[in-house]
Amino acid sequence: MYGKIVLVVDGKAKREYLLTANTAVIGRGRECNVRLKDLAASSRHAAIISVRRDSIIEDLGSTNGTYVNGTAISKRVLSDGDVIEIGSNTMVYQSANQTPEIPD
Amino acid sequence: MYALEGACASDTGRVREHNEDSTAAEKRLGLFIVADGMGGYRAGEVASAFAVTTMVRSLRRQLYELDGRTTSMGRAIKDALLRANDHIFRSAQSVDEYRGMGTTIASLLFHDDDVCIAHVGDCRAYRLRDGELRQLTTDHTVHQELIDRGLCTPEEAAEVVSRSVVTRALGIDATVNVDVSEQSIQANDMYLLCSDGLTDMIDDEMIRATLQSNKSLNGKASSLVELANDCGGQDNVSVVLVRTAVPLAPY
Repeated sequence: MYGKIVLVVDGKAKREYLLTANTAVIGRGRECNVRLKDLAASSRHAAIISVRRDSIIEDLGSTNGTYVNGTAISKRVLSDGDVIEIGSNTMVYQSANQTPEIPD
Repeated sequence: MYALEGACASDTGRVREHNEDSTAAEKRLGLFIVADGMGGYRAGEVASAFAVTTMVRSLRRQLYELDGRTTSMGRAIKDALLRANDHIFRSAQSVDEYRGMGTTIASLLFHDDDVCIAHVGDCRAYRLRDGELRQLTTDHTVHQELIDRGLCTPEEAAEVVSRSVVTRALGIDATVNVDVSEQSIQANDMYLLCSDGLTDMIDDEMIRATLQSNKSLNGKASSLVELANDCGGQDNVSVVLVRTAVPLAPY
């Protein structure tokens, strides 16, 4: 089972990205796994590293920062339902099963 | 009762590509952590992030949700570290890329008039009290063990082995030996947790002078990181500072 990132536009789920790779890169660049059409996003903005049922988000030294639940982060273990904001884009993290491996 | 003020600073340094350190300053829990991860491609980052998250969640659970079951703070922090060890170890076993990952860690848990100090590896805790800086932890390194066993003087040990070879780390084995100690706190104590990226670059006297400067707590934390970078920045550098103060009486 894999966690996923749900891109939300106007309160609706627009697209889902399954976190199948150990590292998924989010950004404006062509090679990114989650590609954002947003000038406020850096070409390689943030990475999501997945290990078994846990995922860690890391800002890759972006210009405008990566926010989780409204707080700017450099690195953080994601919990189910965490809201990720990059530029004008909002994404929601959904863990593989509803209980992450590291218990809340 | 003491009020706690905390500050964190962390930087990749001037040489490394990634910052494999993780920090936490959970004022409500009285918990402060610095972890310095190690391992191949990004594995160090994973290990230190897992360590910090597991410890915070474990202590939140022990101190709040299961209140009364915790017999001592020393046991609680040790239990949190063992959980972190277990989680990193199991994750490392199951994903090839992360095999062998681990992290060194130093942590403080404040409660009432005491602080518990728990560490594994070469992250350190210091205390500044009345102008005197004291190291509260003993590194788990080959270098330090040669000195402790009387086999070498510090100068000789430095020639035999690099200071960075650790003898203990979280996540390397199914079990780990954790050092836990406890001591009384006083008003206006200042505590420092740091990764070896700080102490390999600057000496205790520079640390003391920076902690005693007139800067704010955040300013002191940033200054320590800048100093380590100015002295070469060979490694990731992370610091967490905690200052104790007697809160104003409620009436």
